[in-house]
Amino acid sequence: MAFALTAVVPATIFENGGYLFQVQGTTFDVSHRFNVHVGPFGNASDPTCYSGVPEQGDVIYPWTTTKLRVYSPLLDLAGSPHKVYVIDLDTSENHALGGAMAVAHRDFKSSVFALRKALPISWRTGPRDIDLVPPT
Amino acid sequence: MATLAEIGLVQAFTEAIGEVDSEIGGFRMTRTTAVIEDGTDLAGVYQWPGGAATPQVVLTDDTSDVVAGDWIGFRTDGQLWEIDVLVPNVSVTLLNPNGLTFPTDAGVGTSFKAVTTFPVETTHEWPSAGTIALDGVVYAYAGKTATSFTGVTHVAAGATVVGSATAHRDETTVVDISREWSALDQVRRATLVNYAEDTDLDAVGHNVGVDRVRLFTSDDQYRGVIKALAYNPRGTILGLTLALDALVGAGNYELYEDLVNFPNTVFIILTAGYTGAASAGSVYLTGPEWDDLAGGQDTLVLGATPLGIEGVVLYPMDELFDFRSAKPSAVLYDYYPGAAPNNAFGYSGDEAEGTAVTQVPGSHTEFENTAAAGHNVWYRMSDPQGARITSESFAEVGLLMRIPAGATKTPGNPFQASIWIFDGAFRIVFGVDGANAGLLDVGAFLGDTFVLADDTWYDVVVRKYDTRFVELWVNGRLITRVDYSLFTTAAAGNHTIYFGMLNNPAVGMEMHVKQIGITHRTPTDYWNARGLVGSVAAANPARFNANTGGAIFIAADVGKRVQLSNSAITKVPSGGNNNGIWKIDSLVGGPPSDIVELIGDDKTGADILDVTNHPKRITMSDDDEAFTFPDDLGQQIVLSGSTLSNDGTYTIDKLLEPGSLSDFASDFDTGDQITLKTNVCEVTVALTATESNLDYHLVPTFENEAAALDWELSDAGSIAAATLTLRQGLWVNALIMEIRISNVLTGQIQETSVITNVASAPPPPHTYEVYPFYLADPLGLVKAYIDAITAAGVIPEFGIEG
Repeated sequence: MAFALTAVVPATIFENGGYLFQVQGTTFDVSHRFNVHVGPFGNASDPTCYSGVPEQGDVIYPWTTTKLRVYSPLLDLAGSPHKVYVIDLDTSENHALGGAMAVAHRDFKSSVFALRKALPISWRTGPRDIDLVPPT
Repeated sequence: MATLAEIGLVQAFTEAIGEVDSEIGGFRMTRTTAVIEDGTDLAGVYQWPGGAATPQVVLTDDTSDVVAGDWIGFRTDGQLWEIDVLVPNVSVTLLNPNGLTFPTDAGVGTSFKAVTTFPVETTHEWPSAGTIALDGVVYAYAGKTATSFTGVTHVAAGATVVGSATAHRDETTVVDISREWSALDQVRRATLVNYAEDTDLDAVGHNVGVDRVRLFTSDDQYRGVIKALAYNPRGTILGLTLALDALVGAGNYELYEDLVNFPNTVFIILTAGYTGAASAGSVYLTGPEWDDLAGGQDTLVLGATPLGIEGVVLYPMDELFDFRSAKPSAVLYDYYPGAAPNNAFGYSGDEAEGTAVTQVPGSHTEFENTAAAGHNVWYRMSDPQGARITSESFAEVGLLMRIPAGATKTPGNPFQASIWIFDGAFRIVFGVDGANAGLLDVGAFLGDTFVLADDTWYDVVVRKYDTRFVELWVNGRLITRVDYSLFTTAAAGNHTIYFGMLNNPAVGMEMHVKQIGITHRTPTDYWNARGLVGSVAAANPARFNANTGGAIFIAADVGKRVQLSNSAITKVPSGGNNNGIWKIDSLVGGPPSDIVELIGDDKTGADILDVTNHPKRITMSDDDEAFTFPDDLGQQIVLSGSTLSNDGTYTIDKLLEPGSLSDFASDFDTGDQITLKTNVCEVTVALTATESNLDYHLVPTFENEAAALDWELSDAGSIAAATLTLRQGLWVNALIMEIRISNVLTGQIQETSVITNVASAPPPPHTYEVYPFYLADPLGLVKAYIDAITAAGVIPEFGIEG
């Protein structure tokens, strides 16, 4: 049965990826596999979202018949708000929701920098201080 | 929201060093995307006119870089005014609600506008209004866009100022200090709780020990409670806020702390809106009312006839009076909840208030002796206005003051700028003498002093601890602590607070004040009657004389309790004294009379457990605190109801520790100020037989003590309809009293489940022998959850508004 997309919650997400969001719609077949893409083009060439499930990669199983739960990829600020493109891998049915996902510049958390500073210097943790994060 | 990277990193770290140690807290941060100036120079030439017009029209030749709503000022002046109306390239009309004085510049110099918008990389998920910090400066913002904070203000010299305090470079870190969550909190919250629903949410909650109960009417409410309880973020107040938002809804409660007076206590008040909607039946056992004293300083009128009075106290105060926008004589406050606002202070001085006291709006109030030497300028809070302080009170008066440079101080005159507290017994004074300041006796400093610099604001706090000592704190630092008895005695009946310039300040003496905070509370319960000169004598060992000269006890006092304390004698050889709590058995002479016969309560449960091995020992099995050591040593105990010849009157010789049965007198000196409770005594004469459950009562055996005993008669006041009359009047009428009343009959636990309810009086109103009642506790589940989430050492206190 054909599915439809209605909304994305939340409608604004940080650029640096890994954030949980819901794609809401109707009639998702819970036994089918889906891919979700977010980007300027509204097709499979946009960055792919993650399932958050170990070894499941970017294959999404619907949470309910009306919700998909995915984790965002690294996104580009340019071109925001982006389209959300969903494809049923088992039937090839696909739909796109235009202008659904606004992208915000990431913010930072002091505890993350504190944790990074505490780890061994040889670990590639990323910038250990906010001043070392290059501006965009 | 948390990222996968952060989840993995923090999860690994948590497993490595443990969850508690991982809770290192944190703040959300972003960065500015442009330089933030401390004001933007304006292109136009503004002709600042001086004066203090409200509003003010300022001519200018260029308005291209301003709009209505901007705040502008003149660089060398530094003050800011809001643009109300703009006539392009002609003029701007500035609002001046506080009557500030405009600069003059005659066209020379630079005007500027405040920078109230800070551009940043993102404000996504930041609070819509809140508090941020840049380069150590704290700002408040009133709004935000996706990439900026708007309506930014900061605090300088105690006042809120629009715009930035200083320049900040591009890419300055902006820290959210609005009490938000740490990254670890957000990680914990990250997945299932935010999106689980119905039975999925039940499973999530159950897994973390928070089961759904009927109190939760929606998934969102239950979700909020799970997050608050299971993932309690750092900060007790934030955790409680989250739980209460979920349980009762934002706006339906108040949450506050008073860390100075009640440390480790959080106060939670549910507003009437919540309780009215949620309760199925509300029972209020006690509720305070307030009234001002009238009649012979002894009469209070309630809103309705009460069933019982729990107590009558001087209504405590905890108020801050602000003089930045009004003179003290113009400051109003509610004398008690629901009262119409009334004056806090009255002016006293040798000059008209209009000349001696001037207001600097938004800043402070100035006192100045402008006319002649010796002209005082001061304000007084009278006892009816709120200075209802007694020697038993805890009282604190905190004045934010300064002496400006150029003020003509008189060395040797420490009252020229002073604070006075009269409590009806002593006069507690703080004063400034030249450069030194401190607490004062008649004219000499008591304890340590401090050097008071000119033109410097000081937060001076005088704190009186009943009759023990007085402390002086300045700017949060304890300067000195002085014994209360060292101060000068004052007339009884003088209960006032003064502050200002008294006692002949010189012409040109000045004092500036911003605010005064007054806190006091008095534990004395005026529903009781009391005195300090009671006497007893061995000739009549159960008799007490209050020595009031006014025949204080009335016929209705028979059966009421009298507590005797502060006995200075030690009975020989028993080691007891004349302290104790007794029941009035009868009046001697009168009524009314100053003299009563006292007796102990009738009780049961006296056991003689082993007359063979301990022939003098009696144990009170029904009352763990039947005796007080050392007070009851030497008192008599009367046994009755015995069938084995144990009836009689016995003298208490020893009191034994309940567990070890060791003699208290061997471990404690009867002269120490320590009282202990027990239910085991030994009498001077052997008893007859082992026997249980005898009736008994104590009888006092006073020894001579003349005019030195403190005494207190409970429930001494009288009720007639809605009018209360205190047995002893206070010192003046119009004092605000707080009356704790009860209007509900107490519950009864019945022995059988079949109740025959008999009407005991014809209607109206219907009165019965047994009253059915319903208990509803809208706070119950809320209390249980709040108690669960507060850490040991944090004490939630609950109350219902109104």
